Parts: sequence; C-alpha cells; structure tokens
Amino acid sequence: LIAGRCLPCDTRRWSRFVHRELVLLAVLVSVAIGAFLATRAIARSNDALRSRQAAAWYDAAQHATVAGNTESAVAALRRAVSKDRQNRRYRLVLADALMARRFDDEARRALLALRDAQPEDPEANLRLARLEARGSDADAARRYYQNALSGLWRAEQAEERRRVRTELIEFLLAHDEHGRALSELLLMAANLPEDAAVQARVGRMFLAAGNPRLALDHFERAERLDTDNADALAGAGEAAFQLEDYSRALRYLKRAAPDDTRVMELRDLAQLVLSDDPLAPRLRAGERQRRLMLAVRQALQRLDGCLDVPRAPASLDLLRNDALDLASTLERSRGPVPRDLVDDGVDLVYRAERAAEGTCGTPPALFDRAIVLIGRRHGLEEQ
Amino acid sequence: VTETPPGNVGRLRLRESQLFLALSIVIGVLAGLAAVLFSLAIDRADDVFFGLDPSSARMFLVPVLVSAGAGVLLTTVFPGVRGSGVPQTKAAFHLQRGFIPGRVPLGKFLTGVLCIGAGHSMGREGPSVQIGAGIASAAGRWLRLSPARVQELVPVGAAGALAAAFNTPIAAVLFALEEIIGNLNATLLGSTVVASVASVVVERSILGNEPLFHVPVYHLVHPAELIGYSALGVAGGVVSVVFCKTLLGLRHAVLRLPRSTVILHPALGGVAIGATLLLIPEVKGVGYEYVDQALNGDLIFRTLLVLCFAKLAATVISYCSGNAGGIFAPSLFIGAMAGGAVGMLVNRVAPFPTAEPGAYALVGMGTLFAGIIRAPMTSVFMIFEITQDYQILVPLMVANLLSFTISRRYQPIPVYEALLRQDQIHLPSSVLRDPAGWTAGDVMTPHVPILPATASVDSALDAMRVDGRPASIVGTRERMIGVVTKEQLAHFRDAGRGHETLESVLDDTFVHVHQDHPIDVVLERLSETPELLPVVNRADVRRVEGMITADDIARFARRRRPNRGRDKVDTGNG
Repeated sequence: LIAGRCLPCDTRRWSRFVHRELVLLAVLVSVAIGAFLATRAIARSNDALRSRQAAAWYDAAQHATVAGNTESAVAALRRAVSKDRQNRRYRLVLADALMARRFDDEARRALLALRDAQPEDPEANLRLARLEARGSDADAARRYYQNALSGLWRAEQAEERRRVRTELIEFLLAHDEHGRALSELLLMAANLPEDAAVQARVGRMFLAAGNPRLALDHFERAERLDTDNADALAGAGEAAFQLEDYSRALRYLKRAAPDDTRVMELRDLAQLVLSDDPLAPRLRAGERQRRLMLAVRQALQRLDGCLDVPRAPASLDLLRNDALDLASTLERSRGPVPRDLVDDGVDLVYRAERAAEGTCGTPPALFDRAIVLIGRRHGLEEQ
Repeated sequence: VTETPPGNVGRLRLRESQLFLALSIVIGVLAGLAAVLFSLAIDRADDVFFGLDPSSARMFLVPVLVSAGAGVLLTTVFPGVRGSGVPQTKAAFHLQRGFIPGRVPLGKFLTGVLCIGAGHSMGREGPSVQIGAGIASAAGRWLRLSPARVQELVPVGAAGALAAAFNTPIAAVLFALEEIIGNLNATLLGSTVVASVASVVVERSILGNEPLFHVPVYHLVHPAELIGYSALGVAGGVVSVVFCKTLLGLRHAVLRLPRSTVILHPALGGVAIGATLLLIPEVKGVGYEYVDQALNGDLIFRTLLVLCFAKLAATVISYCSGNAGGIFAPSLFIGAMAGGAVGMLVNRVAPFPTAEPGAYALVGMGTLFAGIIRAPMTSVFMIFEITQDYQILVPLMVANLLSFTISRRYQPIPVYEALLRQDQIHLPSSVLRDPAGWTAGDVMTPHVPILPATASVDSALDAMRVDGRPASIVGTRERMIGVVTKEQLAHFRDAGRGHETLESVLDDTFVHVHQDHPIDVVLERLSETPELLPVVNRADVRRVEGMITADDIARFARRRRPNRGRDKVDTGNG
C-alpha cells in the first residue's frame, strides 16, 4: 500500500483501461477494413456503370457519324470520354471527329495529351501526322509519321504498319521529297508480302519516285503473281516505256486494260516509236528513207502550225527551211540515201519538234511525241 | 509493497500520444473512405436523377423535387448541415472543443449527395471536410479521449477527408492548419500529415492514380508574361469580391425571411437551378469535366465568360437557399473559366509570346481560391500538386498575392468567417492570446439586469429609475435584442414614443465582448458603451453570459492589487 492506495487494484484498473482502448482501436481498424472493401466494391460498380454509359455515348456518336451529324457525334464523344477517361479508343475517335469538323486545335491538344501519356503510341502519332499533313507543317507531319512507324506495333499489326509507311511515302511524294520517299520505299520493299496488288502499288510508288527500274521489278513480280492484273500490266508497260524499252512496254501494254486512255496512249506511242524509227537496226535503206520522209513531213506540219503563233522565234523559220531542204533532197533522191543523211535528218526533226514544243506546248499529234522519243532513244537529247 | 507496476502492464500501456498517432492513421483512412464514398455516391445520384440524356422536364424538375425533400431533412432531421461544412467545422474546433454530433456527418453525407447529385452548383470538398471532422470527433469521443484530444482530432479528420476528395495531400494539410486551426505553426502538423497520407493512399488504391485534372505541360514562355498573370490576379481579386459580396448579400436577405419559410428555401433554390440548367446545363453539380476542358483550352472565349458568371450566380443561389454543398469546387470552376478568358485576351493583345490559355486557367483556379477562401498557401500548393510543375509557382504566387490583397481590401472578413457571423457565431481571433493574461471572463459579472423586449419605453424607464441602473440588456438571457441606456429611453419618451415596445425602438446591433477577449479589448469597447458592456457567447452572440461595467473594472483592479507582480499587460490580442 502506498498512501492508502492498493497498487495491484490500480494495476487491474489500468489493465482494463489499456485493453479497452486497444479493443476499441481494433474495432475501428476492422471498421476501416470493412469500409475499404465496401468502398472498393462500390467504386468498381461505379466504374462499370461509367464504362457502360461511355459505351452508350460512343454508340450514339457512331450513329450520329453515320447519319452525317458530326456536331452531335462530337458532343456524344466528349461525354463518352468524360465518362471513361482511360479508354484511348474513345479519345482517338473523338480526335478523328474533331478533325472531321475541322476543330484542328482541339484535336491536336487531345492527340498530344494521348501522346504525352504514351509517346510511342502509333495511333496518336499517325493522327497527329495526318493533322499536320493537312495543315502547313510538313516537317511536323513527317516527324509524326516517323514516330508512328517507330512506335510500338504488335506482330499482327505488320499490315497496318505497312499502310502507315505507304501513307508516309505518298505524303513525301506529294511534297516532292523523292529522295526521302525512295528511302522509305526501299525499306518497305525489303519485306513485302507476295501479293500482286501490294507489289503493283509499290511499283507505282517507285515510278512516282522516279525509279522506273525498281518499279518494273515490282510490276513484273506482281504480274508473275497474277498474270491478268491490269495494274501490274499497265505499270510494267509504263515503267518499260520510261526505260525506253518500247518493245517490252508494248508487250505489257497490249495485255493491259484496253479502255484505259493512258494505256492506249502509251501503247500507240510505243507502237509509233517502234514502227517509225528511221534509225532502227536492220532496216532496208528504202524503209529507212520512207520513215525519215514521214518524220520530216510531220515536223514540217508541226512547224507550220507553230509559226502562226505571235512572236514565234526566228529559229523556227530556220528549222523549217532546213526541213524543206531535207524533204526536197529526199524526194529528189533516186537511190538509197546515205546513212549520215538519215542521222542528220533525225537530228533535224528532233530539234524541230523540241523547238516547236518550246513555243507551242505539247503537240496534239502522237507522231510528234513519237519523234521526240525516237530522238531521245538515240541519245540526241544529250547532244 | 511493490513500487512499480508489473512489466506486462507497462508493455501493454499505450501512452496517449501513441494512441493518438494510431488513431490519426485510422481516422485518415476512415475520412478518406468517407470522402471517396461521398464522391461515388454523388456520381451515382447524378446518374439516377438525370440518366444518360435527360429531357428538359427532368432537368428542371429534379433539382426542384429533390431539393424539396432535402429541405425537409435539413430542417427537421439534420439541422446544422446546410452549406459548406467548413465554417461549421471551424466553429466546432474553436468553440465546441471539437464536439460534432454523430448525426452531422451522416446528415451531411445524405443531404450533400441529394443536393449536389440533383444538380446544385456546389462542391463536395467542404461537405467532405465536415464529414471527416465529424467522424474524427465521434471516434475520439467513442474512445473516451480527453476533450482536448477530441478537439485536436477535428483538423486531422478534415485533412484526411480533403486529401482524398481533392487528391492533394499537402494542400489538405495546409488547409487544415491555415483554415480550420488558423495557425500554420500548429503542433498538430504531424497528425494531419499522417492522416492525409493514409487517406490519399486509400483513395488511390481505390480510384487509381488518375489525376483529378489532366493538365497540359506548363511553360512560362516569356518573363514579361508575369504582366499577364498580374492582370489575372487583379481580375481574380475582383471576381472573388463579387462572389463573396453577392453570396453574403443574398444570404443576409434570405436569413431575414420568416423562420417558417426555412423549409422551403432549398426547393426555391431548386427552382432557380432547374431553370438555369435548362439554359446552361454546364453549371450542374461539381463541374470538374468543364474545368478540365478549360485547362486544355477546349472552350472558346464566349463560353468561358458565360460559364464564369453563370457558375457564380448558380453557386450563390444554391448556397444561399440552404442546400448542402461547398464553395471550394465552384471557386476553382469560376477561377478556371476566368483564367481561361484572361489567358485568351492576353494571348490576343500581348506583344510578347504567351502560354496557352489553359495555363492561365490553371493559375486562375488558384487565384480565385486565394481570393474567395482566403487560404493563399493552400492554393499555391494545391495547384502545385495538381501540376507537379515547379515553374508554375512564380506566376501563381504573383496572381494569388494580388487576388488575396484585393479581396482582403474590399471584403475584410474571410467568407467562411462572415458566413458564421451571419449565423451569430463569432470565431476567436487567429492571434494567440497570452495564456497568463486577464480576460473579460475574469472581470465580468454573471448577473445581468434584463428588461423584456415587449416592455414599453415608459415602463422600462420607470423600472430603471427605481433600480438606479444606468443601462440594461433587453430581451432574454438566451436571446438578447440589444442594450438600452436610461438616457436613450428618456430621449425616446421625449420624442413621443413612450408607448412603443423596446424591441421596436432598439437597433439590433450592439457592442459586445466574448469571455476570451483580453482586458485591453474590454477597455477599448467599454469606452464605446461606458454604462454596460455585454459579454456574449461566441457560438451564439445573442446568448448573454455576463456583463462588464466600469465598476466591475475598478473592483477587479482592487482585487488584483496584491498580485500585481504576476499581472501581465496583454496587448494586441483579439
């Protein structure tokens, strides 16, 4: 006993007090755990509800888009996004809808936010590239296309990735960046599927990029995969034509779609080059003279038409006089004309056609164009 | 005889401080869960009330009908849970030693969900603070902690709830210290930090790490841009003053309506809000999705301006009609819209390169918060936590300082304190008084002469002549009308108003002190009413606790003379 107090009794009282606090605290902790579990369940239920609501708004937006009501579509998509912020698809589609409504600034912000969250997302980068491509920032567009291509693609997305590269190449070609386009084309060509349409499309892009040799390779590959593929035949014909391999071109163009005006034009031109070339090998002298005479008459006709143009240069007149002299020489000739005269004659008609083209523009007659091609074929352009 | 208690008891014994720390964690968790649940319940209520695409009739009727129901609850079952909850929490902390009845958090939760879910333009943070504080108070009392400890738990619960409601743990701690306690040097820093962290951990484990706002990367594009942010600070200060004045003015008018109409006020507010929602549905509820759009520059100038003033008006109506909900979120909404609008103007007219309007919207949020709530440190850290960008601090501080200064100049009493004053509750000054100094409570006489308010001027004058008193309190001890002097009564009688009642001739304002006012304040105020200075309750300024006259001062001075050595001069407090 100390000062009349029973310490063991106090101890028991303390003990009871301490235990009571601990028990109450434990009860509070249990309540907190229970409340945590309940709240988490409610939160999940709320999330599910919001996802359903977002999906409903998304569906409404799709219907509005189909009906052509882009304003309603944008409003519905905004609600879908506000209900389900985590859903990247909704946000991407909203960006698409904004772009469709020409709300480019807002679309850009939405896409940049997506890109900030996931810089290697090909979808966001691709849309940004399209947005910039539509605007005036070609550098930014190219950068975003490159980012999209170097983004994280799944193995099964190879086809999509190739489509993006195709889009980039077309963008580069449209902006006359043929060198960059060719680099991308070579990258793409290294891993192409055995598909005639794909090969033909790549061939067409090589052609646009100024490489008919590689274009012809792809067109011929496409033709081997599908012998009746009209695109491949037309493309191969055009590529061979650009390579000045007119007989090869004619072979393909004859099999290509007969109602295609471009094909018809190239085919006729190739036919003319092959049938009316005075310098073609293994010709009899008479035939060579006949072809030259035809060319001279065509050139004279062209010059006559062109001299009527106001302020026509005096050089046209000189060329016309030379052509008239050549024509009379050929008419007066009793035997085979010397080879030098044929060479000079071809050179003269080539120069006459080029001069007329410079003054009066592209000739209406195919034969005039054929004469130019014949001259080029024999290296006259370099002279 | 044993001199020490057994070892087991010693090990088991939880010292009160340790228990308090453990309790802070549990309360942080519970308050955080309550705030999360409150937010989820509001979302669900919004869905139930409005559905996916509400018709115009539904848009109008929901606020009216739900507010009518809430009005009944707020008047009959849960009185004292109207409005924000922050002023009530401050009053509970300062005047009721942290006592918050158990039904307050429950009532606040229920009515808050109903009112905000039904489209009232109010925030969830203020109610969350009161719910968190209420849970803390109830838990403290259940554990039979000392009243001082229960009082200390109130800001702990408030910080925990706010941290979860706004996902900003540091700002929540600062808000508890700056706004609830009113002292940034409070010793409760540790407990509030612990509760805030526990709460945020819980909140993030349930709702994920998704930020409340999706904020673009912030850049101070050019040093001269600080001019633009200064303009925003001035604009924010003006809008803050307009908001506070309108809110307090309309509420003052509403409080003067007959008491029998109180039950109808929320429904009348519902009618106004329903009509507003038909025209501008964007002001519905908390409205953070539109804040997000403003932050990302997705709103045009006209929309920003319309939403700024429409939200201001809608919030004032919702709050003044006595619905349950806060002004924390609306102040951020209004700030974002005002900031975005200023940003667009700066963008157009500034001769120097400027940031996107979204950056101004972000700073605008803090600016309005500093101007309306008057918690500048909280606002700076809140925006800093939202952006997690150090670069925003300088423009934010510039704009906040200007807004705060303008607001303080034209609205000297902070809005939460002014709201409490309208409810006849006077909080003590934030300046600490000297605990050893003498106060009005030491000097006052508890016995006071009281004249009934219904007495005529003539009879009151006669009674005072008989008693020889120079002045008397009019009304009852529970409900004081004012103070009347013999001189005033004689003047009224000479003016021919002798038959009128005291209630009709008296002005209902009166000079008073509270028991904790220091002597120098008592002397200063006694000089204004030398005959009688009433001492009234802080929680209800119409409840009389005593009175002080010049004789009381003299008596007190004589009584203290032997102890003059320990007397301290108490200046500047109060």
